[in-house]
Amino acid sequence: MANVSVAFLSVLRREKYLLIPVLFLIPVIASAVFAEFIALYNPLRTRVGPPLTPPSPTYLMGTDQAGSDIFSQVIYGSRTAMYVAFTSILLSVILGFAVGFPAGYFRGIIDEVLMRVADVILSIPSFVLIIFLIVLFGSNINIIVMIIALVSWPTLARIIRAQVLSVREREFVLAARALGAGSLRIMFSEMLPNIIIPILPAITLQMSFAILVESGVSFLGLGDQNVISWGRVLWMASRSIYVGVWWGILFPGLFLSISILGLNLLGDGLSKVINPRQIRKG
Amino acid sequence: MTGLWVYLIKRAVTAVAVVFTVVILSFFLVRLAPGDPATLIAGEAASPEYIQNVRKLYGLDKPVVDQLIIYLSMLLTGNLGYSITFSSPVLNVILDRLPQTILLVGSSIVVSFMVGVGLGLLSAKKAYTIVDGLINAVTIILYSIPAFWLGLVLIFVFALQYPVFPIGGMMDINISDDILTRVASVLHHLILPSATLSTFFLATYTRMTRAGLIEALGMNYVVLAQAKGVPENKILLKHALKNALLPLITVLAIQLGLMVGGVVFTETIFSWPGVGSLLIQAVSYRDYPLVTGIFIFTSAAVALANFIADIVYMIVDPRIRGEGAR
Repeated sequence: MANVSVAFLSVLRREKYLLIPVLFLIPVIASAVFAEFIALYNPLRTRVGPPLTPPSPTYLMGTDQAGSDIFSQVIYGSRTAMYVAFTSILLSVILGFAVGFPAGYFRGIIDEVLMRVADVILSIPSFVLIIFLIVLFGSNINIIVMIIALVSWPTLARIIRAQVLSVREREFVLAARALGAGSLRIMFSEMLPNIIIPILPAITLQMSFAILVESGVSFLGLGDQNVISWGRVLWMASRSIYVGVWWGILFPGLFLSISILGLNLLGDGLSKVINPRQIRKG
Repeated sequence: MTGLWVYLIKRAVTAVAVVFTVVILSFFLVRLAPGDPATLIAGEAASPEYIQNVRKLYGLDKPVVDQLIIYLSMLLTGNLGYSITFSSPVLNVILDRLPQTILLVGSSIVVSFMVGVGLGLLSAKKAYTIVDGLINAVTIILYSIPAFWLGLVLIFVFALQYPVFPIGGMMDINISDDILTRVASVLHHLILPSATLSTFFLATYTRMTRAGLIEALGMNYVVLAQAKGVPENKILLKHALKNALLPLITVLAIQLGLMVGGVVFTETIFSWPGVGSLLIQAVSYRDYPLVTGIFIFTSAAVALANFIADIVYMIVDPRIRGEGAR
């Protein structure tokens, strides 16, 4: 682990443009981890102050129409966003590997079938599918996480498959095979490490997608009612903009946008580090 | 010529497979979901008699295979179910809202395409300068701002603080029957939602135009044109741009699927009477047949759009015909 962080720091020192997204993401991650120590009030409690109070030293980001403290909600909202981003990406990476790895390794009919499935899922308008699933199966936060993973694995599976295809004929894999290593051993100890790094940019992009989806669903009032999320705070605030309340939409929206921007920039920067010569087309 | 047909048929099969998967998926999901499938097919507003009726109509007491056959034969005749809240067939409810969505999506694609290509041209012309960097920064920021937040901010600033544009809706009420006044009113209502929806695609178009142009500028035909003394702007606009724009067609189609999400938010925030806001209405009324119908309908629409984009791409790019033959 120490090695990893040293390597990470040295990459940061070399590639200055990675500093910006890291600086964007640190406050969000810090508030997610230390929410209890940073937040001043219980985010779910109403009437901690007079309703619709503008930002002040007591209520740093003001209060909403129920008198809840928006600052505390935004801080705890980071925790929800990070929870959704990390758990859904974990699930979709596992699914992506489970499909992409055998597809690229065994090729042939397995490849053909698995990739058709991925193509079809990629062609379904994901947001409508997500709403459809939430309507049928409920809006518990973990169900939302699973649904996000379910629609986002195909992208990862395709990249993983492409990486497997390019790695499987390389000398070190051939050498392992010549030495009599089995398929599983070759997959896990020879190929895996060479596949993880190139999919990092896609991982950060999927994480920003996950945050966007969860907050979007909550913004539409379809999120988990027991969980504070930026989207839900924005949903509450969207009703009070008509009486001139700007703080309710400004702060959660800024946190949300900065997290997504940070992850997008990180993905951009990482793909520059990994493929310095690749011309970006996205 | 045969290769061309093989390619076309392959794409058509993919489109049909997508729609078929969506139909099968919706069939099984409704039956897997917690709760009574008859209620999920009828909608929560249905009376007990109506639900009993649906149970018989959809053969819910019969084996699953029979149910599937009944469901598929209904869909094949264009029957997407009946919406109780709108007291009208689901397909009619959706088709009523479709023109407004096409207007919003179409205008947003045109706007983001024109601005994006323009910015991409400028970016490529001034590649690796401050202008280029600035355009890149602005577009990625716009790309990262969620449509629903941008919409709220635009409403707050341009409809409430400085009421230049209406808060929402599609036309002023109590308006004269004069067609010009009506068109002007619709355009006035269209500007904010269209701006909201455009920003997301702006970044992609800008980046792709820039990348395509920079790649094309290194090609032999551009070098030849330069050697012949063709003016720089003419090379950029006439020789390089043509080739740089080709991939945008595919991206446009792929993004239609993504755009659906943006449409749902934009229409909901601006109360734009299209299919996207209809979906959220249907969800809040627990009008399950309408939600299912919109899911199937949008998937089919996006699959069709992808197929059309494939055909267009094939017509404008002769190279793909060779590829299809393989």
